[in-house]
Amino acid sequence: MVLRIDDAYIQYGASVMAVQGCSLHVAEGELVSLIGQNGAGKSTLVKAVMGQVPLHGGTITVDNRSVTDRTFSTVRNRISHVPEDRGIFASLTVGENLRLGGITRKDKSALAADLERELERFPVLRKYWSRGASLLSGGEQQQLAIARALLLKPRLLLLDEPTLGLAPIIVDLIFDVVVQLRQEGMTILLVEQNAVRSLEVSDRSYVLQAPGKVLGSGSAAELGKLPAVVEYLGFSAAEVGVAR
Amino acid sequence: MKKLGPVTRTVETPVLLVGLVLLAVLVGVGGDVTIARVATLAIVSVVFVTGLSIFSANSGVMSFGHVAFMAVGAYTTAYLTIPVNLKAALFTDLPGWLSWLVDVHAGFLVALVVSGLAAAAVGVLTSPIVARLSGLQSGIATLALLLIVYNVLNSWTDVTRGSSSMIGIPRNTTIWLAFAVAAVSIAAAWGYRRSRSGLQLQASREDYWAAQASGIAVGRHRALSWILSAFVCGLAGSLYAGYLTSFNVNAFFLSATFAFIVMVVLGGYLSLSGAVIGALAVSALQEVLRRLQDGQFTGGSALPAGTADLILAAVLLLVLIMAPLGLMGVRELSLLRRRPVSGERPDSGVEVVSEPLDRATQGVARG
Amino acid sequence: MILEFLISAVGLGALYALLTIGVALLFGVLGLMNFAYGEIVMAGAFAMYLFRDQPWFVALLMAIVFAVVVALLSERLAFHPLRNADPVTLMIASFAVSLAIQSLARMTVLPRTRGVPPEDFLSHRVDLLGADVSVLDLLTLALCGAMLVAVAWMMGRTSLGIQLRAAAEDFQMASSLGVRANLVIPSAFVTVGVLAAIGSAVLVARQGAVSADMGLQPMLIGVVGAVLGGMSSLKGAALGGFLLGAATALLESLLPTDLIAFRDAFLFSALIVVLVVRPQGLLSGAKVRVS
Repeated sequence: MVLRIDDAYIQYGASVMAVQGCSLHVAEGELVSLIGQNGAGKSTLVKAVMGQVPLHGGTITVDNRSVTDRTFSTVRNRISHVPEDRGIFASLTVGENLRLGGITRKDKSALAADLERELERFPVLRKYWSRGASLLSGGEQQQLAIARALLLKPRLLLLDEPTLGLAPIIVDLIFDVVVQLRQEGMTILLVEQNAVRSLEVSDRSYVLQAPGKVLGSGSAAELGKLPAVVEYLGFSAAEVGVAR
Repeated sequence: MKKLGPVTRTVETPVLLVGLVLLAVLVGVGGDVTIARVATLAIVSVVFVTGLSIFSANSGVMSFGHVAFMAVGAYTTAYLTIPVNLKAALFTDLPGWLSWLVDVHAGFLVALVVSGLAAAAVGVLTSPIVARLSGLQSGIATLALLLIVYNVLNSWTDVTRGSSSMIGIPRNTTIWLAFAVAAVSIAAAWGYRRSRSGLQLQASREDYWAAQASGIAVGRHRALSWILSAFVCGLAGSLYAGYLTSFNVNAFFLSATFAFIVMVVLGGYLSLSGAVIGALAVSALQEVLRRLQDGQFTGGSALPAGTADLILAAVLLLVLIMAPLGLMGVRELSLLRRRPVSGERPDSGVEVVSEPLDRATQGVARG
Repeated sequence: MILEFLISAVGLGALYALLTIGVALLFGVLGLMNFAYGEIVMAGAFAMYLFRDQPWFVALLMAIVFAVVVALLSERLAFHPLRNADPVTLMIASFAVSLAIQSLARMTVLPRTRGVPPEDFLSHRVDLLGADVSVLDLLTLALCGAMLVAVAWMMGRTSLGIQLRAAAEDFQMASSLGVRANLVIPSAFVTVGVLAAIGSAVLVARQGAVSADMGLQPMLIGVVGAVLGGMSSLKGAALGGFLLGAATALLESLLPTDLIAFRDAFLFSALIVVLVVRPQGLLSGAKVRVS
């Protein structure tokens, strides 16, 4: 199991409970999505995996190593995080942003090949290589963020709302890339509000309800049989099947 | 003890704090000249940090500029109380539109109040700054305020005597007067803390935007507490001038600011009790350090100048690293309220009790 | 006359830019508004005094060594234990560090102001395109300009520079990409030490004296310049410092004599206005992350 979250409790400040007893797992090569409304605790969970918010109960392990361990390093365990705000360095150029993606890698020739592959995948990044990253559009910044994350050669890729606020054509492009990565064997945890598209592309999905409780999980078909999930999401999995 | 009435409970913290200050008075009255001087200045410091804490304890915003208000109070008192004929000799180059300054004169109590009002007036002028800024920005802006006031006092030689000392201020501050002003200030600070404005401001301390969103006019309350705290710091400046009878502009600059910061940070800058306890403790510490530096503990061989400052800086750093919210944190001094275990003396100690509102505050509030 | 003024204004601008970068770099990387910056400058200046009889490049080298050592020590002893503290706590801590270093200097090596006779050639004047220019102004311009170019190269072209800039913009994201705090933070302090040392050399040449409290002015210049430029990027901060220096030179030649004494009051009033009206700085379009 690449990622395992067991009975996690996370709170903000003294009293606000963001995640209450959440459990989920992602196996190697799996594309798992985490869907739910705003404030369901999805991003908080991802941040907890990254060690950016403290865990108040339960465990989170990556490759059987606890992420709360003092010696645990997300970089050494090759966890790549594309945060919701994309985390682009606006004062750096596109090329410099990409360079930071591989900053820890020692295999410089393999890195160059990987960079070449990502520039093939995202041609716009080659075009704007020496442009300031702040000048890119939202969709271009998202591509930059994903490309940069891939340069770490991640064992686990955490994508937090990668299509939020983007034009429909870019949303298609991002989902295509996610499917492509899945086919390349990447292990991915995808956080999305776009439930229909996420159910479509994912092997399995978890439906999260505030405060960070799993309402149901499984494939699109399995979730469609759970009345609580159908009611929460506002559509049945049958519709997803149709869309497919 | 458990049956404290609501009134008792409301006033117990200020009463305890005034009691602490009274202890300092008794030490001063009972001691020699040096002790009396240290005690009096310690009580003036209590007045100052009480003023500072009206702003920073309630708003959670640190100010580095309050010494400017103290300066305004001190200069005002100097102008109002130096005998007129001496003033005429001291200020020969007053610009025409200020020549009336030579002739004004007031009794010390009037001068005291006017000094507070003068500082409050500067507070009114500068209140839009603190109403709009938080965190580090506010820290820099308040420091800039200190630098502006210092620059003006230091350079406007015709009016302020510049870097020459203000002299000839009659000695009007007695230890009992200082005590009275400290008691009134503590009562005022406590009153503000429990007032509607104070409580709303404390709510904004944890989450500025949440408070703003729930309809609290944070800026207005900040401005109000800023002006009130300027007034109290002006009083402190007046007492200071009236006790020392002469002072230099350098008394109101970075080293004074630093000393007061050590006091409030050591005690806990989110708590009135912390500020008062910090002022008394650091005043005592400073005196010990002064004696150490003078060689009173090392067999007469004086330590190099700067030793006291170095130790003070080290103390501040240690406090910041070990207990960033100071000794008191967000708590206030209060009597033991738990039912005492039988056999124990019921009033065997003083205990600190959290206020429920403050419990969640774990760090310095940020904007 | 114009050229002479330009050289002195641009030189002062370059010096101020240098000082400003030193403040902005630590602020960006650590959220630290470092009031002990002036004492790092003072450490460099003290080395200039100590090695005043050596050739100037030896003195300069020792100034760099002294300033870097003091910068690194302050990081290790004071700021390292406070790495997760908020900006205001850090600022108060830097006050303490500032006072501690000043007191140490006063106790040991600088109980009073020491004169450092400037090198003879500094007081010469040369003819440049018909203008009568002092060597000191030329040297200020050349030294600070060269240093700015070097910093720009380091920040723009080297891996360390890219990591520093990334960390200055978003420390959390940088570290999740593998930028190591234990590399960038000490590197930032070393860079600040070098910048402060060069600044101190110029200051000593201009003032001809060294004292324990000489750090106040350069520190204030750095802080004001950084706020004016907007603290979100080093480029903005450098520009802010440069404009501050040029404006200071202009004010000094334009203000009537009896108002020059109030220069600081004007400067800090402007600073407050900028903070209230445009907290992201005059020159920055970016969102501010000051508090």
